[in-house]
Amino acid sequence: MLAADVQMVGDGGGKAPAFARSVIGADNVARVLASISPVLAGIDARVEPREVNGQPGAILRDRDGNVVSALTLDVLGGRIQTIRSVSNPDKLGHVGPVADAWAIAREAKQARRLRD
Amino acid sequence: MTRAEEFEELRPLLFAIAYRILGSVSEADDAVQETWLRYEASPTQPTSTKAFLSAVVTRISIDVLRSARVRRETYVGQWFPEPLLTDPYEDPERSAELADSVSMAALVLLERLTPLERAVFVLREVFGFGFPEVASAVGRSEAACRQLAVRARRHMDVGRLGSRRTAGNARSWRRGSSMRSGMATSTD
Repeated sequence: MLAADVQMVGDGGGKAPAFARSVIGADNVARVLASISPVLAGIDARVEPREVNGQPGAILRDRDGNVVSALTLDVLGGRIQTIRSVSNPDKLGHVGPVADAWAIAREAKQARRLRD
Repeated sequence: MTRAEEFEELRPLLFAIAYRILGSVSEADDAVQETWLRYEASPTQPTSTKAFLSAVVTRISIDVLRSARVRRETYVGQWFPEPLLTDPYEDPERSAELADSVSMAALVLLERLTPLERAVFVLREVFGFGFPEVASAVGRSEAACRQLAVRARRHMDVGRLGSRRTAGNARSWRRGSSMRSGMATSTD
């Protein structure tokens, strides 16, 4: 499903948690996705699949339905080539009420600490 | 039809042009709003409302992009366009061009063009405007616009080759080639 040289890139604009640099390679991206999904489950985040910019994508929402980020997938030959995430709150206002991404990150960190 | 009704009918097109030049939903909305204010204040009725309003929204978008570019230079981390959930404009005859140009990969590539090149590319290659319309929209001669279109296409092609990891890239690349060969034989 992931192309061997898949790339995951985020735009937080310094206003939301985002990867410091892009994650490259199927193994690395799979590892990051695997580490993120329990965090998302821990905060009752919802992934709402939908077309974004005319391509496959999703809106990530917190438990109150507020928008955390918008994701797009570049798919070529049935494999995901690029995953882009826009989480800069300034760029999401037109999608709906925007979540407090830092608060979510803090909550996720706390949840992880409690679990460990 | 009143001016307001005419404007509402063209609003999806105007937004679609502005979004592709600006890569921002909020800035595109503002550009469309500003276009309405100018239309409302305009004392004369243009011969073609569509050509007139497209030209106004293009010129406003070029100006907005010029100042936005300065801000984007100091942007923290990777810059992506504001995500667009639904493109309000549809044209069955240009659906491939409209879809390709709105993808994140294409909008990131369009950031490599100068504001003028980008406006010409959007009007000509995406919306299929004739060069006379493009020229009057951006306030340059037709010859200059043809040059700008060639340069813009070259930038886009190089970008596509450089990053083959784009949605429907092979598709746009193939179409790009046929578009170029079509251009070579056409007198337009």
